[in-house]
Amino acid sequence: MKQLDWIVLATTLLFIVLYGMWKGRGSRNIKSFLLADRSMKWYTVALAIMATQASAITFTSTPGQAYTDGMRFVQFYFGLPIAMVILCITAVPIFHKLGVYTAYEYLEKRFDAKTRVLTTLIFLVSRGLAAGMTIYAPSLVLSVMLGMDIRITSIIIGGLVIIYTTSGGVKAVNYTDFFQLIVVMAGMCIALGVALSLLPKEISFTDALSVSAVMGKLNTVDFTLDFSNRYNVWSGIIGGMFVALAYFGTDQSQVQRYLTSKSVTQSRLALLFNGLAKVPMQFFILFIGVMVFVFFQFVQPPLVFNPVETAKVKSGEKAQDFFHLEEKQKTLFREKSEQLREYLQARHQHDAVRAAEMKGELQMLQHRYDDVRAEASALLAANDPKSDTSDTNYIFLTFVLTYLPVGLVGLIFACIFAASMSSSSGELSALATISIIDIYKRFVKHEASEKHYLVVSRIMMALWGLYGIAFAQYASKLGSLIEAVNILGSLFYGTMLGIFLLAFYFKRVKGTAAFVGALCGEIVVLYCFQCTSIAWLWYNVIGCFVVVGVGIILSFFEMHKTSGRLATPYPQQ
Amino acid sequence: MGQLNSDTVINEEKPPILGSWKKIYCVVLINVTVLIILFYFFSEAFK
Repeated sequence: MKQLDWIVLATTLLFIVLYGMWKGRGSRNIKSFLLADRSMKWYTVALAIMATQASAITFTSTPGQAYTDGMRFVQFYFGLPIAMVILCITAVPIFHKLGVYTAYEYLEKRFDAKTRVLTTLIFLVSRGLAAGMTIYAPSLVLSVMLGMDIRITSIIIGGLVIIYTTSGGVKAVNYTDFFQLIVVMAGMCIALGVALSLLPKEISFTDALSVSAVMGKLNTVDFTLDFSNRYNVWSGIIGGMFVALAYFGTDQSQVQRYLTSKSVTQSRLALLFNGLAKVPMQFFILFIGVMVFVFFQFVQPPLVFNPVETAKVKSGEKAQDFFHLEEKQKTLFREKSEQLREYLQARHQHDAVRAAEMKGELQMLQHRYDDVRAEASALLAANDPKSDTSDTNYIFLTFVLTYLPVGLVGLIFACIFAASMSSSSGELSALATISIIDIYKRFVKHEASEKHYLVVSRIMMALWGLYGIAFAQYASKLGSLIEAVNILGSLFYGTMLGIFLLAFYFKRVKGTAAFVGALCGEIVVLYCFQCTSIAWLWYNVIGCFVVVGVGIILSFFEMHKTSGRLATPYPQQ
Repeated sequence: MGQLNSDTVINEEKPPILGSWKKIYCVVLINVTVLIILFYFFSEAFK
């Protein structure tokens, strides 16, 4: 990065922190600090919801995913708008009516303390680790791309977040999220514009689309029903809907966002805006990745996009093998590039026969090219078993660093930092709120002054932030556990959703039935995870159905027992 | 503690546009359906 890029990056980050502190000033009690006095407008909440959901990895990894796997990931979001509608009808009015601070507070009102404790613990374990990841994952990518120590990048991200969240609370989080999402989307629009403008002059936009289609990257919709296929329309609509229901309905990092709204109407509008905008937004980010892919069909890309891993293998025992693979990749690239030009020429001349012939050849070439990349990845692992063999996160940033003009590089990196800060701040704020409301205020100090709770809230936020930074410092030593952390959420979301569905819709189900149902649901999900090949999106559906099913059956027996007792003329002693 | 269910919640403030929440929900659901159809034709158009 050049000096101007560093100036742009530093100025943007400084502005975000000052803006958050200024907008969040004046918190005098925990209602103000944790719920922003329920005063937020729907558009601020809507963008805060979207910013919290979209982490830095969304903006670095999603274009990379489209580069390697095409656009089929967009299907994952098809169920989200349906979930938004369901939540607007059910959860939003209930949470508002009860005036709760957290989603789990409602569960004690509806069931009992043990169900509240169970869900609180599930949240703290799963989101606590996820909060660490929201700092660690982008810190790692940024440290590799900027050549900085990961300790510095994680301290910058975590430290800046701690400053404005502890000073301004959730109000600062919402306003900075709002601003951060605007910055990030502006940056992504510019990146797309640059990617298109850098295509060879003879390649039009329609040609770019034809290239991406022939190379299998426009695989947006797949109607095949296959339970082992991670992304198709059905897993997206059904599985995606359950994930979104669980995430937006039971995860405090999202519930807290819409609890800050002025009214039910404002919360609903925020969620529905998310329902309208999320799918096009994901499509757009994936589309950037596809255009970067098209760009790299005509400009030689590196064999492996992670510069640190490339340098490591080049200086190790496998260097010769790697150079050999690089030569192979160059030859394949040239061949593919020429054939693509011929293919486009055939299309321009409306020579359908020739175009169809070339399509098969091009797909064969792409398979061979992918095989070479897979060999390179295996070589990285052979050279160092601890190496990061997936370079998906580095594809987009390599493009940005190498081909974007000075100034814009700084802006895109500012976007990545901003995205990371927006999701981290949401997580920290939620974790602190749960720690205060569901644990400290409920079980440790029930009666205390507002000032006391406010001070403890600030301390909690700072502690969770420090924990996130500490996690990032040591996460690289955790090895494969990091992958486990990523799928941890999907192991618990189904159970959480099942408990909330029982609470919302099944009047007769009481606390013990819901609690036992939750334990059964969790056992079944863990069994599916360990012993079956079912795609993870379905865990949410399975977990939820087991919790609801067991809860209903047990409540039936409870009712039967109760009515039996009532029928007894003499009460049992 | 009394039962707290969706049917006990009486809060039907009118939305700022379209007159009723049902209509707004329909717009959101129609939007995603149209998007899926558009994505399908988009993929097919360049095959």
